[in-house]
Amino acid sequence: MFKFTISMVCMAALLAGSGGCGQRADRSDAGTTLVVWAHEGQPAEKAALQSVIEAFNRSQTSVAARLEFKQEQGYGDRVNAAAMAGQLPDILEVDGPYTAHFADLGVLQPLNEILPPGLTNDFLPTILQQGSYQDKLYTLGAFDSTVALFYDRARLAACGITPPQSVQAAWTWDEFMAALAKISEQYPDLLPLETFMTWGGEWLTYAFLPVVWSNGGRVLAPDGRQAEGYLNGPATVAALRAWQQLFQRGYADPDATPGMFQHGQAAMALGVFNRWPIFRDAELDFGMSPYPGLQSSASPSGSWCWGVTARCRDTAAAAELLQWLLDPRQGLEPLCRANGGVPSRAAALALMPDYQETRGLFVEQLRLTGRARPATPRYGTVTTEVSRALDDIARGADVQQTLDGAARRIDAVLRDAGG
Amino acid sequence: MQKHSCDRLGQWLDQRAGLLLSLPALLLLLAFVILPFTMAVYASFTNQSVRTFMQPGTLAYVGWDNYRELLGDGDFGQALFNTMYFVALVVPLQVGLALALAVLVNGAEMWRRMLRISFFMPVITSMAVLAVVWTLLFNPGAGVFNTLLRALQLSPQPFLSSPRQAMLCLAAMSVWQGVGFQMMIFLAAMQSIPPALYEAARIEGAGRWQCFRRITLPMLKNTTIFVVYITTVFAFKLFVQPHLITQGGPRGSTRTLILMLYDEAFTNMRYGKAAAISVMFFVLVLLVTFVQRRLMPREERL
Repeated sequence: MFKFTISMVCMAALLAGSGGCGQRADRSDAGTTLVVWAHEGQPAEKAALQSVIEAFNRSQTSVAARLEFKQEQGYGDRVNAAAMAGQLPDILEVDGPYTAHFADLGVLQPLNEILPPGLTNDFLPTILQQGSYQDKLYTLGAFDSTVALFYDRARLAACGITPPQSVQAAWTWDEFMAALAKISEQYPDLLPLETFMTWGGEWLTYAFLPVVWSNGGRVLAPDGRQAEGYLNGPATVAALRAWQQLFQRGYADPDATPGMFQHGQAAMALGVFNRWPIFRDAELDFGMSPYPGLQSSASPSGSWCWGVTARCRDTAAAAELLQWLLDPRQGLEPLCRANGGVPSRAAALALMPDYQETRGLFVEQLRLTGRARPATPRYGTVTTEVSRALDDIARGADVQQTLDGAARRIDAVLRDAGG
Repeated sequence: MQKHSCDRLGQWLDQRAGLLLSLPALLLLLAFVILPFTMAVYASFTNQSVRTFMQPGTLAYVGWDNYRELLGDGDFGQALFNTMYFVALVVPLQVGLALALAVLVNGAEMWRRMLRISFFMPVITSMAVLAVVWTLLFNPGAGVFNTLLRALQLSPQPFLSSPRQAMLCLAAMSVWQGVGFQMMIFLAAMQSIPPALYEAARIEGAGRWQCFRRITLPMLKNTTIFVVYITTVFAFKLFVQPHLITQGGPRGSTRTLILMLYDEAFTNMRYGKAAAISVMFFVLVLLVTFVQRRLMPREERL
């Protein structure tokens, strides 16, 4: 048995040793090499990021960026594992709502002292909200996202419905429901509203929390430490009861196969920004209306963004690279053209008049009613519980009871994470 | 002198041959099963989480807290029930069906190869692919099953979106997916039954049923015991199907112990509590196997 123990210790030492030699950046005479981790997006998006980084490397000689793509599936787990093993890169792309998680763990360092003051002046408020945790800025994204109400012009006109075009005039929930009622009466064989519910997971949290916010509801207490009384509070419960009516009255279907609006089988769709080119390519005659709300207006936001890890020694070099990635012409324009995302800075939008013309609603909506998902070190738990609750509610579960359970489970985890 | 030491080495090797031959396997078992499990038992009494890894000094001994928390809330009980329900559905169904299919395939001389392949195909197909296909089949609106039901003038079913039916659907799918494996084991065992036994029985006037009842079944006893054990253990480990198809829903009706463990470890990042679930799971499977051994007939030398 003793020999076994010895050999085990040797094996463990070997394993640990082989993992230890990282590809860390260091400043040699030739300059700094920065390792950059990014999620592997669509081919066009990937190619665009690749050429932005290559252009950066050509533009100067003191800093070299080495881009490594990691699969989107399990990206967060990979970063967690790298953090525990001390193998983080220097520059890290993060899925926006996980900013607080990585900031809390000490994976990211605040950008406030790294970036020149004033850089953030023309960023979308949603990007700054998403990147902030406990009054410090940890991430900045090149693009943002949102959800609009897409509609079939001809069919809605036939029902005598003219959806509002400006964010200030967005439909109230009653107006929205009245329109859906008219549509389902006029077109009994048509799905009145496509909601992409079968995507499940993060989509549900992202796309439907605005209904809660628009009623003054919240997922977590303002200090982020408790869900009890908020996620299952009266404002949230009332909002989700109203939302549940979409499914109870048959206006939306939790099991509808995605693509109904695209194929002319749905009259409207609560679709994410990147549906726009798909609907355009399908040669649909469609319009866009802002996200409807209950007491006030709110809309989804958030996307991948950049941070500097705590292991990065040369923050000056990191600042140089981030400024390039977030430069309106060098970074934002090519990246946004590749993935259709909403440029995060006004200066970039000025360079893309065509975007402003066709998708100005996205920008206006993000500026006026966009809101970031809750900033909490346990976002993974929160979104899992919230999305499961939403799925159950859409299928007719009791709203109060469902949210009570979700709040209890979230609080058990938050208590533990409280440090 | 030389010869003498060789003898002694030979003697030494002879005495320890068993140990030496099993050493590689034992080492691997130690490294990948016993050691990690010991660590899990230790972790289950701590507050180990992603935080304790990143911030040294925050790791603390918490006694039975993780276990108390598990037993205190209803989620563990529900997951335990769901898991047991699945095992109770799948084990008799899968073993019975595997035996029936083996008899069928064994009897069909001409089609044997084709039938064997078609029943075994799902076993070697990726579960991720099957999950997507079965989700479409079960779709309450446009799915194949409801289209069939409507064509037969029967009322369509909610399937995966109903808390009552979801686990039944997963069980049906799992049996279909896994039955080929057990069938192959039965088939192999059947083909090693000496044909002389059947010939003798037929001369004595035994019919097909009697042959099956009096020869095939008794000769398959040891195989059946083995198949019941492994099917039970596989069924307890149910994870991929609910993880991919239902994410534990609707209303937690397909959340199994392993799914709960996964959530605790990789979503909530509470490794201590996840370890406590794994220890409870181990004890549960141990208990069930123990009970099974008491209830089932003992394996015999044939």
